[in-house]
Amino acid sequence: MATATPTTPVDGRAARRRAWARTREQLADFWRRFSKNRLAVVGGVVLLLVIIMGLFAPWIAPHDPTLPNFRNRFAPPAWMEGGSWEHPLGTDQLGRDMLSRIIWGARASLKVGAVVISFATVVGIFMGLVSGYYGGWVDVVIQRLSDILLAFPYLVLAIALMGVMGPGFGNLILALVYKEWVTPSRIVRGEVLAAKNVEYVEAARAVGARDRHIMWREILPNTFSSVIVVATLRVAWVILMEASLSFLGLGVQPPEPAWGSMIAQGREYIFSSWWLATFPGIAILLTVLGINLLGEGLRDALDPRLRE
Amino acid sequence: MLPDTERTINAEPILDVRNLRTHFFTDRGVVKAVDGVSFQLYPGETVGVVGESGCGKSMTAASIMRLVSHPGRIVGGEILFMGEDLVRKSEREMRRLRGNQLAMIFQDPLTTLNPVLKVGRQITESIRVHAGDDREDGGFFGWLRRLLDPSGRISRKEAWDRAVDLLRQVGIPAPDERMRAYPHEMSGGMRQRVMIAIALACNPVLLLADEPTTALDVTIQAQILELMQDIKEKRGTSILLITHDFGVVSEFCDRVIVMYAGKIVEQAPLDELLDNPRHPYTQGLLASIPRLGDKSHKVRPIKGIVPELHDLPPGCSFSTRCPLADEYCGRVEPELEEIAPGHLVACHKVDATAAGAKGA
Amino acid sequence: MNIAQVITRLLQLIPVIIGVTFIVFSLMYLTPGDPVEVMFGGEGAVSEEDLARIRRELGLDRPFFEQYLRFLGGLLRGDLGMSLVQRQPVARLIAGRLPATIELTAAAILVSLVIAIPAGVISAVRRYSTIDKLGTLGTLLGVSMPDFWLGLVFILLFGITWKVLPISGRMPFGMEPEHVTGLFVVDAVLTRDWVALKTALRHLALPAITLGTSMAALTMRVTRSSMLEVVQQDYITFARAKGLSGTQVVLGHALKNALIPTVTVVTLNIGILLGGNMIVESVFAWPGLGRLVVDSIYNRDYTVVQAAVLIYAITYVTMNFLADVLYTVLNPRVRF
Repeated sequence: MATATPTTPVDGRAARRRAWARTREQLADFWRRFSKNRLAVVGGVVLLLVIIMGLFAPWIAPHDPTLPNFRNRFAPPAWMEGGSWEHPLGTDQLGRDMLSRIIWGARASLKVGAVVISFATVVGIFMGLVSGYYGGWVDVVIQRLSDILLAFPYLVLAIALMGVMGPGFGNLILALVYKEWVTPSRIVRGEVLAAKNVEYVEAARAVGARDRHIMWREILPNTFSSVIVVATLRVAWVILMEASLSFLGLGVQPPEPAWGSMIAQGREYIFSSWWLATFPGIAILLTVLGINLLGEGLRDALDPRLRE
Repeated sequence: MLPDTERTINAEPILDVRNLRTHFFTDRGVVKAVDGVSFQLYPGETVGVVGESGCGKSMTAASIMRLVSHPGRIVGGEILFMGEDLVRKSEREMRRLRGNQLAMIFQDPLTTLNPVLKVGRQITESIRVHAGDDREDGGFFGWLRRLLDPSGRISRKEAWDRAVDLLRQVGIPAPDERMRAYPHEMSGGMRQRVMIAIALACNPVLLLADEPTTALDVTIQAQILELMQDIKEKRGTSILLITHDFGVVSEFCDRVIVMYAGKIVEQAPLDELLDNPRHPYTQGLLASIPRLGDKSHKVRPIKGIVPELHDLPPGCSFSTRCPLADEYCGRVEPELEEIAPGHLVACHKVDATAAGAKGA
Repeated sequence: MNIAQVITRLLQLIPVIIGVTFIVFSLMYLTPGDPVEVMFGGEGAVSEEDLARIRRELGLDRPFFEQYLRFLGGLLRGDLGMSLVQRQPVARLIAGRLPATIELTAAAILVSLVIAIPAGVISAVRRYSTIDKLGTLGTLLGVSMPDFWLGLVFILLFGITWKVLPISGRMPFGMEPEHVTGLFVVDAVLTRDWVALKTALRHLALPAITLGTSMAALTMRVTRSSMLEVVQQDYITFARAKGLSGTQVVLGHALKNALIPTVTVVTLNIGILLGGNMIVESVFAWPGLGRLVVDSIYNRDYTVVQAAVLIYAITYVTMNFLADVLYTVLNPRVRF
């Protein structure tokens, strides 16, 4: 190790190289722990399949999910009497192909889950940074606002909002995001408060680094693993909530296929055609289960402190 | 009751541990926490077990109580307690011994007493649990039966009175009041007295004391040691005292066992060990104690750290830190050999250590 | 926790509740569409002059803050406004629905505790066993399952395929027990109407299990993890060193400690039940508050939605407060 001053360019490169090596080592360590958790890997694979289904729905789905065929309504799944491999999971009350609708439904669920959580995480990180770093009345206002939003039980305000604002993608996102940002913001805020007095931040401030630089470069990276874990687990929750809203007719609107609304429609015919309501439910269950398994695996591998 | 340090009296040992091995089966390999430990404890005797943390001294005590928890297991050896092998006893038989003839106290009374139960309940419980021992003890249903039919047990009132009496004996003022307190409402010294009272509830033959004074202030330490001395003299209880503190040992013990990395490296009567320590590790431990008022004495901590127990060197475990170790030490494990009456050492260099007895 | 601390904590709730009322009020104030038009069955049913007159009479032409203060004043008097569609005081409508919801929620909590606490304890005590692995998988399934779908699967299995349990409503018309509390199960017991009791319990079974499942999963998870932490504590080893049996140690020493976090989490999770309420009541046609809200949304009966959301939120805030109080009551170490 050279004893040269840290300002020489050679040494700066070496430091970067060392930092990169350390990052790589951490990643390898993370992967070792994560890949040992078989259930988490299974969860990841399931989620990956669902993502592929959602992304490539137009190419994967065997039929147009919205095209009715009144000559072939309520066709049972292929393995039942009267079923055919033309429609492996049967057809619905309008003769639409169930498999294609489920594949397209993945798109709706993932879209809502991804947009809500990205939006919530960005807002949450910003609010947490501001709240923790500046403190004072800014902190008080943000924290009271969080308290008030947290006072609404899950789904209650979302249902009311959707009912009042009417359906629509933007409204749906808003109805689900309104308090999702609170969890990441509290994580970031806690980290900021903890880091505020730590030496390296004080050192950075002493050498005249600006607030923004300190927040982005010194504090934020420490919160990544917690924020990622929480975001992953929350995606599962958001997908469940979206499905619930769609089930009540307040979420994704027909004819766009969504698992929740498919179940709601299938409910009408549950006495005669059980598959209409059953298969979309299994799709939700597997997706959410996959995300939960993945999220818990990530949590255990990234941040054992987060364990309950 | 004089200690039988010279083993001249032909008394049967109360505890005879033979080649005890307790291993932990972890992801990173097998940890031999206790690896071939043998020693005896005679009636009325107090033996100290010393060593750094992780040397297996606490696990030795846990093994005697048969309270080793997953992933640990006693994999070999015998623990003869009053002539009977504890290793071969069923869990039910062990339960009758624990807290009865065989009692144990732990390091930190704050974490050892249940925080949500009042002190009185915790003492009376240990009195009552052994009162119905002669009756059939059939797991959950046995427990239920005894719960529904309390005959053969002592009454709550009786247990309460005995508990109050015990608290008085361990020197707790206003014991009646103290019975109704929660552990966190008492001082550290008081809590330790409560724990001792619980251990004494059924008048044990053998008391295992795992660092009983470590968590306490120095003045309180002295009081607790005095109390234990008192118990020893009045009741004739044999005590196995586990500690890392040579000060406590020199005040309190008849005989000393030094452990390192799961093995006994030296064992001797107290005076012999203090005057003539022969294992380099023992010498190192003694040299690392700061002495008040002795300016000429230089504190010399032992170099290096305790090796990882799942990755021990092939020969003498201490060879990686030993100032005298040579290639042979790193290859061949030394046996415990008697070099003087009652003085056992496991070291290839035992001849070289004699001269430098007071710090080579 | 002494009285002063409870009062301090209660006072801290006031700004939160005021914030909640403000949000709920603004939500409805900003609603697109005219409540008066909703009242009279849509656009064009009443002349413009009449609409303006009714608006004036209802105070809807007043500025925002004046309307909000009137709304708050009404709340304090227990006046939740008039239903736009049903032409009844909202308070009366809600009061009529509350017993059904309370009965269902209580049953769901009971079901979840009865399953979750023993399961969590056994799972923790028999860690790494098959039972533990099955239990952990079960909790994951429980939290990943959409409750409306689970309800439909139950309907399909128990109601349609096996025909063993009723799948909708609380009670066939005319079979209700004499009114005492409005909770059919309680009323049936009080009036010794065993037929009604059996019918009430049979109707309650599927909705309560559906609603209780996710809560059971969460409760079991907490019980297991806090139990795992507790059994590693020194006082558990010491209890065993006293000669207590495994059962005595678990029931007498570990459980009380392990239940402290469990009680808190259960109380907090009642919020999830309140949301799940609306879904499950809709699935099983359970005539409670949740179904009232959903129906009112379809009918655009916004005053009812507004009042119900407010009641849900205040219940939830109260539960959070209770969780804090319970935590300190159960845990003699905490003095906050």
